[in-house]
Amino acid sequence: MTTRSMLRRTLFREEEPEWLVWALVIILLAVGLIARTIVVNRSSAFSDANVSVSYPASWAQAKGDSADEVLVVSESFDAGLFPARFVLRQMPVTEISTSAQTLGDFALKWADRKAKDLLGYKVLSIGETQVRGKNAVRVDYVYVAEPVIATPNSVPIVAEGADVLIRQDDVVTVASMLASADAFKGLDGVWGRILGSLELK
Amino acid sequence: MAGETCCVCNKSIAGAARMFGGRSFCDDHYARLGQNRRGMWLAMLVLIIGLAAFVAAVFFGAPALRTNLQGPWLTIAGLLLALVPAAAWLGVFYLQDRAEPEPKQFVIGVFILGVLLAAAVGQPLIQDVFGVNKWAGGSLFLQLLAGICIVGVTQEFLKYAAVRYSIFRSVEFDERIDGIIYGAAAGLGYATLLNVQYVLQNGGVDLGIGAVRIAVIALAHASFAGVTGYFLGRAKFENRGPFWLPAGLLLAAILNGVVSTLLSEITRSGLRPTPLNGLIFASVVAAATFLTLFIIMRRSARPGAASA
Repeated sequence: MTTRSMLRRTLFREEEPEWLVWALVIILLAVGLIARTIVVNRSSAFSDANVSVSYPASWAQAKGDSADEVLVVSESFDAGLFPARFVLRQMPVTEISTSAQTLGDFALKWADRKAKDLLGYKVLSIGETQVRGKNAVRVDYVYVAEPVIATPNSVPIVAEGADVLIRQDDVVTVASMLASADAFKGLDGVWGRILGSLELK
Repeated sequence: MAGETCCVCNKSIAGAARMFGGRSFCDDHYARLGQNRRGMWLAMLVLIIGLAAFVAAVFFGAPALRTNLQGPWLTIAGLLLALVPAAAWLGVFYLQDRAEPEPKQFVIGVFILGVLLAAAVGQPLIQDVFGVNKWAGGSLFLQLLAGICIVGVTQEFLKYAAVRYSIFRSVEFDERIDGIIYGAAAGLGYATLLNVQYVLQNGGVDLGIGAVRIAVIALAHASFAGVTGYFLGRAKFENRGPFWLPAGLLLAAILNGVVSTLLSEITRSGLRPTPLNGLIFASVVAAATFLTLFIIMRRSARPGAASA
């Protein structure tokens, strides 16, 4: 008896070997995992005269609410009641404050401004950070938001966000990351990659 | 063939064993081989037609009910709706199957196993580990790939497991049609969990659109699991070769992925939901699947066996 025929007899000694079903499941899930890894790590680029940034390719561009919003990208609407979102704004320094001197001052003024716009806005922390070698300040906060896809019986959710403010000459760039509070921490890697790709020209 | 044992009850066979599909049977189980229970097919027919008619009635005929129910009452109404498909199927099945009923506790047990596996393994794996909703919506190809390789294979394997590792080896699994019965029970269990999750996540449902969605999910999952159940049913009583069960699972996973992708495409027109398209499509898929299984089961019945 050859080794090949012995192996065949060992593997297929049962009439319906169960390991083949498990093998099929594992192979298909592995294919799915590879596809997920490729899609999640694939990115699209945005660039204009002042700024360039990359974001997950599966996210879609959306229309901004105000003129200072340079870029708004969001997860698919299938992702949940409040899909994660990245918003990039650029505005003159004077629009935030005419008196602020340090980045910390700008962060406080910015937080005051957001508190007027968002329901239940609460700052969790303000701290210095760096974006591609540039000094920046990060404001972490929570607020109460309406689900993006609301039904008549939908209840508001707690959203978490982080705004990173970078000053370059007379312009302040604000990179905002928003998601439901449950999902925010799980997106650390995505936020890191987006911020890592942000380049001010 | 003296000294052989029956492949169903494992009892020694006195005298010559009855052979079918390469397996030995005692007289009693050989006689049951070709049975093609009328009650099961009728229950399936009633489920498809009755559910479609019931849901259409809720969708069109009860606008007052839709607006009057609020808050917890809407959630309770949604949860009751989520249980309607399984209750209807079980009810009709037992009414039609009184002559030789499948033990209730086993059918309900497999149904509950379907619910538990969906809640404990299936949905956490699909939603939290693979996060399918977050990345697979970009293109039709991605939807299909994730629909088959992740969602389809996970859901269909768990329904397969609910039957294969519970009732399959039991003496009660004594007819080929039992594969479809228990498969459908596991499928309806999985669908019930999906529907309950949907109701709770949305704090109730719009009774019109929600009822349609609940019916669509139930019909689709019963059909997919019916396919796997058919392969399991034949594997128990015939030597079908090593690739028979993987082929059945793969076919059910592909059916799951393709049908789910098509459903997501045809149930919206731009941003406007078009749920009745989904109901019609799911009813056609369920009817076609069970009609095909019925024809195959009749043709594969052993010569001379009663097929009704």
